[in-house]
Amino acid sequence: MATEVTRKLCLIGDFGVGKTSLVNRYVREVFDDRYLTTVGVKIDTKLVPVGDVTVKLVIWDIAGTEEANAVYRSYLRGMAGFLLVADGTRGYTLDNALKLKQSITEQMGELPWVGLLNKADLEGEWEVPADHPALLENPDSWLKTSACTSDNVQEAFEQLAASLA
Amino acid sequence: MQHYPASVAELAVRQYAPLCVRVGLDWCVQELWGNPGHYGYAGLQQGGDLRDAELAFHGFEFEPDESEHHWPFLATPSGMSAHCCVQAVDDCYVVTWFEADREHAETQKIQQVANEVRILSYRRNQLMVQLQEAQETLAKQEQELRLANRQQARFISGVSHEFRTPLSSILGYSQRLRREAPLGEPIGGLDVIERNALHLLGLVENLLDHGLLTSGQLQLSPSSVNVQALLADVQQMIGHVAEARGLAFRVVCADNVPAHVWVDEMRLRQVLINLLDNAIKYTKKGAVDLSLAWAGNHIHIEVSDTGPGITAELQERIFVPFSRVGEHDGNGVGLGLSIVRQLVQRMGGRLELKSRLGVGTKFDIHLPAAPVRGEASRVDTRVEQPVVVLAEDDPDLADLLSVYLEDAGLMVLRVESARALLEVAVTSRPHLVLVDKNLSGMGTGFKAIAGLRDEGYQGPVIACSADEPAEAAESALSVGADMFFSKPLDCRATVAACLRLLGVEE
Repeated sequence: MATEVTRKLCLIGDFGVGKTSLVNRYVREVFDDRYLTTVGVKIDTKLVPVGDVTVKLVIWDIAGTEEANAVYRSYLRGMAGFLLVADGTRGYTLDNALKLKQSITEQMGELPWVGLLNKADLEGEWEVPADHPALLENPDSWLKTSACTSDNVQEAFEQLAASLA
Repeated sequence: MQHYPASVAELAVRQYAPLCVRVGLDWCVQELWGNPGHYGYAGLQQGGDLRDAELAFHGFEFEPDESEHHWPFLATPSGMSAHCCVQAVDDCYVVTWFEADREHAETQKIQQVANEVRILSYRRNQLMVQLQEAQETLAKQEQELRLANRQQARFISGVSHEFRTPLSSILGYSQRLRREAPLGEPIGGLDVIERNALHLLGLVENLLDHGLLTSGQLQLSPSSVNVQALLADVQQMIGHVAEARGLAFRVVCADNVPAHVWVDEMRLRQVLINLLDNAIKYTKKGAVDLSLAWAGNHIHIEVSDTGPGITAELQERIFVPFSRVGEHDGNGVGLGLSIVRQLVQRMGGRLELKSRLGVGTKFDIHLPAAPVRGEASRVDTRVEQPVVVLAEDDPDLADLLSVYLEDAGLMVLRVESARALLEVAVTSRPHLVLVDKNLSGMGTGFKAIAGLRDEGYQGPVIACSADEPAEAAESALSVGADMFFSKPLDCRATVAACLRLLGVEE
């Protein structure tokens, strides 16, 4: 019988970068291009087999923010890893995501993470340069994703799940 | 601590539907208050693991010295939003949910607008940056275009000058040879020389005009134009061509057309000749007609023919530069009608084409042209032998013009420099001065005209130049010339103009 472990992961990033859409695509396989801002937190779960282990991902979709204030940090309690999400068509959301990551690391120590440059289907409006220092520093940690086309969405969650197993 | 009145507790329950669960440190439910089903925890009961009902508690631990933890706006399994609070009390945890659906909806509405505004604001700023970049690019391209246009204009002007000067001599001397030949005796090759020189001149003129029109550098030089004189010139030029092709050529001018109108004579003449020449070229039998009418400060010009007509498909194509259509297009490069339409538009008018196959074609032009009143001769017609100073440093052309002027009964004083011109003007008080733009130096002739006017010379001054005509004409008129002729000079027309300005009958 396969071992099951439960791991809490959070989606971290600015508002409007597509965190909820990524969860909806991954958990429910649906996509809606209308923007509906998240207030507070929504929690979903998904089982991911990783070798002999089944990882039960408890996925926290937290309202977007530019900075990790006390309320934001209250949602992160118990987090095992996180998906750092930026909108590739708004370059500043990557910078904000990196600041969030730094703040979280200072508070909670180093945790497994995967970076997502979302909205890859909008290539014509892309603003994040391929030679952005953060991408060059950890090239294997970043994926270009699209909740719209589902490109790399499953891969992103499973890559993080593998590091949490 | 005092207990709240029962009514307050009831109110709180009604408003916030609190659910309270006491669990052990292993998250096993010990006691429940409220309705778990309201939040989607219907299966929650004593002895059950709270973490199975609510995923939020997976991995949760209090930090040292912490006894209370809040999760505002936690989405519960029923889809309801609740504020959730966990308290560490003795050896157990007390978890409480308060319904926050209404607050969530209101917060969500405000946050949604705020976020959308921020995203739109960002997009707007990005567009502003792109717009600014596009404007800078456009400005740079415009600057490059202007430079290219200036270079093109200089090139065209230079080429034009190089062609016109020798053509002046070729055409002038061929005309003189024809005039001096015994009556009725053919001169071998003269027709060919004239025809080819005129053809070459036509091509140069068309290319020059096309260049100026497309680069937006064509300048108009409106002046008082004698309408009847213009029509007479046109009739003289076109009449014999039509006659040679066996066509009738009629010119009709309505009585109400003013004697003098304010237009660019050279460009109007060019439009008429181009249209008439074209009409004659394509009409095998019948007639070509030119009529002028006047209405509301507009000349209405109509050029019609009894030619084969133009198909609807070709009616727009014939105005496209370098498009040669039809079987009788001769040796042109396909610029004539394109230039005509652009000139008419440049003069503020409009050109319409009506054509019926097998019946003929009609070009209608409506051209704004203010009437000029009180036009009068400036010269004393009682002079017995008017004196003309001819300031021309090209000896071939000076020789030729002298012959024509003297033949017309005028006394010619020739000079080759600006200084000599000013001296002769003072000593001889000529009745008319004919000046080339460049006398042993760029623009020296026109400077001399300005000098003459400064000295008080009031006689007529005719300027000429082989430079780009519109610019040279404007320059000449601005320094005080009364009339401008572009080279190659039509010697007969130049002499006729001299006589007209002097008030002498031809």
